[in-house]
Amino acid sequence: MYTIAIRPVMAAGLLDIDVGMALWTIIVFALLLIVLSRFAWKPILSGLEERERRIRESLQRADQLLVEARRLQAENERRRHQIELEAQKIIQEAREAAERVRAEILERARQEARALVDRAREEIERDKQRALGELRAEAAELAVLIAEKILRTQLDAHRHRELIETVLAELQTS
Amino acid sequence: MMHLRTLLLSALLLWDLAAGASSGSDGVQLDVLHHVTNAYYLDFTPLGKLELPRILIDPEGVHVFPSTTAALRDGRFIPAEWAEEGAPSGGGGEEAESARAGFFGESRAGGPETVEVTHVGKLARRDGLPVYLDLSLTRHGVFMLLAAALLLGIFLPLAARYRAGIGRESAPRGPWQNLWETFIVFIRDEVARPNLGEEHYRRYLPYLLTAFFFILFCNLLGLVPFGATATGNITVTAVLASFTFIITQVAGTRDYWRHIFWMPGVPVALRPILTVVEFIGLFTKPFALAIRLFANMTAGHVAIVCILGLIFIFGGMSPALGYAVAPFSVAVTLGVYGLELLVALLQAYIFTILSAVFIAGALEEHHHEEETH
Repeated sequence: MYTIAIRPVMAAGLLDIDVGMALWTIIVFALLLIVLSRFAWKPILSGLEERERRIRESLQRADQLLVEARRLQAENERRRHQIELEAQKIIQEAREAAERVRAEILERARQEARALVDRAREEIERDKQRALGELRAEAAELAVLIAEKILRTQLDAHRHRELIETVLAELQTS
Repeated sequence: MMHLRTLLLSALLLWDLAAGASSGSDGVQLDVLHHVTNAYYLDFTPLGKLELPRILIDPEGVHVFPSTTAALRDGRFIPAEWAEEGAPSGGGGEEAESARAGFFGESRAGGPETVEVTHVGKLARRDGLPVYLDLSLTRHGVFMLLAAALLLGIFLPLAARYRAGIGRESAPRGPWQNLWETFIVFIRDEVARPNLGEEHYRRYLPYLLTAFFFILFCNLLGLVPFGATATGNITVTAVLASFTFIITQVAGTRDYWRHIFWMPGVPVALRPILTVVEFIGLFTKPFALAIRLFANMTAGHVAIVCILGLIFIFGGMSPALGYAVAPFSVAVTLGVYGLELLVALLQAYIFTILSAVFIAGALEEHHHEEETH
């Protein structure tokens, strides 16, 4: 049974080691190994390694840049915040200063106004006094004029005098 | 498209088998082995067969013939079976016999009746002188050369691309480069690196890559119509395993040899026994490597031929039975064929990873002096 099964296999040379074929295989495979190692695998593998190194370095650099960018962003944020605070302070100060100036101006204006009013009042008073004086003189002149007229028409000198004095007294009391 | 191709493929196989089966003299006879064994011709059935040149080295020198038939007609060589069992009787003496001998038994118009020579095709000298070396190209040899040519044709231009900077400075371009790079990176990162370690893998990677692709291409060429599987030849696989064996021994560290010949950490009385075991183990590893690849590649082809052969065996009983079995046979064959594709890849991978494991085993430095383990 066993021999029947194995005989055709042996007869067909399926399990024969063939020296010629072995030599062919050794030559072909050895040449292939040498040629491919030197002219194919070496450049391909070094190319792959080079590329992987590039990718690795690029990633590292990207990471570094990201960290740097984050740091810069944080710093910018901090600086911006600081500037904002400063600006606010400046605005506050400006507002205060403005307020102060406004108050000052108002005060000065008020004082000036008051001074103006006072001066006006004094001037009015002065004018009034002058006007009164002028009026008095005018009135006296008028009185004299009137008296003269009256006297000329009807009265003696004596009555005339009495009358003048009465008028003067009246004027003085008023 | 895919279906059409597989259909065509099965049709060709069937045709081939039908031709083989019908030539049997007593009813249906199926020669399964002739599909997987090596031979001195290329089989393009139904288009015909192409004899390969013969190169024979004997005490007279080197003889080169364009074909086996030409070698037989030369007169100095006879089929090896004739040398052992005697030539079939034809009459007319040695001269007539040589004239009649044809490799495939073709009959020439007007010539004497031809004597068929079996397809094994080994030759011996008629005068009994030894044939030192038969360097004739065989069909496994042809397909091995074809695989080698494909390897060179694919990877040398690919290397030129990397040299030019495509894949070195930029990403690999196109499916072709990506495809091969996937395999190369896989062998490097999944086979060489984890087994051999960061400091050693670079040294053995070229061998592993060459072995992987050579085996893969040989395996796949066996699945092409009219193809033959060089890795289904025990001689080829034995040579490949020998390469791994030699590289392993050359790589061997002092520790590796001490573990083989004088195992540390084991009672002295047991050491000779272990030496014997380890020494045998040295050779069983590459032996298993050679047998595994050979058997896997042969078995699939035998299975396909047998399953398709069922059609003719049943057809021999009754034509109706043959037609009934045919769809089943073709369907199962397609399944086995798909499996074969997987096995082709898998066996190339297994050979490569086991080679890496064996080499790694020889490289290992053990740091235990006399301690038990």
